[in-house]
Amino acid sequence: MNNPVMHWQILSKQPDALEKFYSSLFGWQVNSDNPLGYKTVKTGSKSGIDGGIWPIAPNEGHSMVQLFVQVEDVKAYLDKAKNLGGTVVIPPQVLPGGDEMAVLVDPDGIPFAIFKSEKYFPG
Amino acid sequence: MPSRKELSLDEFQVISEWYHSAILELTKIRGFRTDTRWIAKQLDLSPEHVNIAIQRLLRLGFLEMKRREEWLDRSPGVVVPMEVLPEPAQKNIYKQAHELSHLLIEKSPMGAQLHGHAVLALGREQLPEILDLYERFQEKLSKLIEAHPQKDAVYQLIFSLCPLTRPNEEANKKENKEKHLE
Repeated sequence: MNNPVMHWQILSKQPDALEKFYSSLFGWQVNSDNPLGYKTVKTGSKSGIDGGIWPIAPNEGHSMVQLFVQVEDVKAYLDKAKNLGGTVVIPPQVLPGGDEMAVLVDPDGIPFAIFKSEKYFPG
Repeated sequence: MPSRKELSLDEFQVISEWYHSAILELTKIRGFRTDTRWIAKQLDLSPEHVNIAIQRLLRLGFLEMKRREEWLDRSPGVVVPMEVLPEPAQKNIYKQAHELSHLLIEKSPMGAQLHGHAVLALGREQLPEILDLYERFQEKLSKLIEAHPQKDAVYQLIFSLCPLTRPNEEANKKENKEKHLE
């Protein structure tokens, strides 16, 4: 299996403001009707990928964009990443929607997520 | 006394904001739902607040999303001893707990609450012994609660013993003088 980037996620201190901003700017559809209240973003285009918006606390670092890479075995890729110099931020978790996800930081300090999804994403 | 250690921002937030413990305790009650909207409703918080708290708990390894419908409290019993915090931070945490109690007293009928209140004359040197007694009580209480198979609510327990009077310096001086003369 290749490991495609399937999803982007904006970590934001103002998720509601960004929802309004991007939906007004690009006409993206934002929906948070899922168990985590996760703001899924559908661009409505056949090309490119969809994403989401997730809150961070005002005193917790910078707002940023994270990439979500699909893997067939979250634990195996977590170990592989650790051997290559990555560090674990959030160990594997099963989200209420059934996807398995872990968050890591690459050797340059950039956080990213790996996930395994039966369907596709997230919540 | 435990030595001071550097607390991470996550650790500090978890011990200073009540809702982190409340989310962990909520995972143990009957009918718990792995749904931040439901959790937010139970605790009178916004889903965003809950999601931020959940991220902290996940980063610290205190919460595990084991299955779609099962989240587990993986926190150690006492996250960080209060003594590692500077005095203003400790005071702030206890003040917040009391402020929360004010709200909680109003929110539910008296029949759903338990209170104890007493004004006592005591010897200040008894404080460590009293704390020890309270810790043993808390241990017994935890055992009693753990044994119950059908938990259906999360409660806040506060134990506070604060001096109502100023230190009686004159009496102390007199006592010390008498001891000295002996």
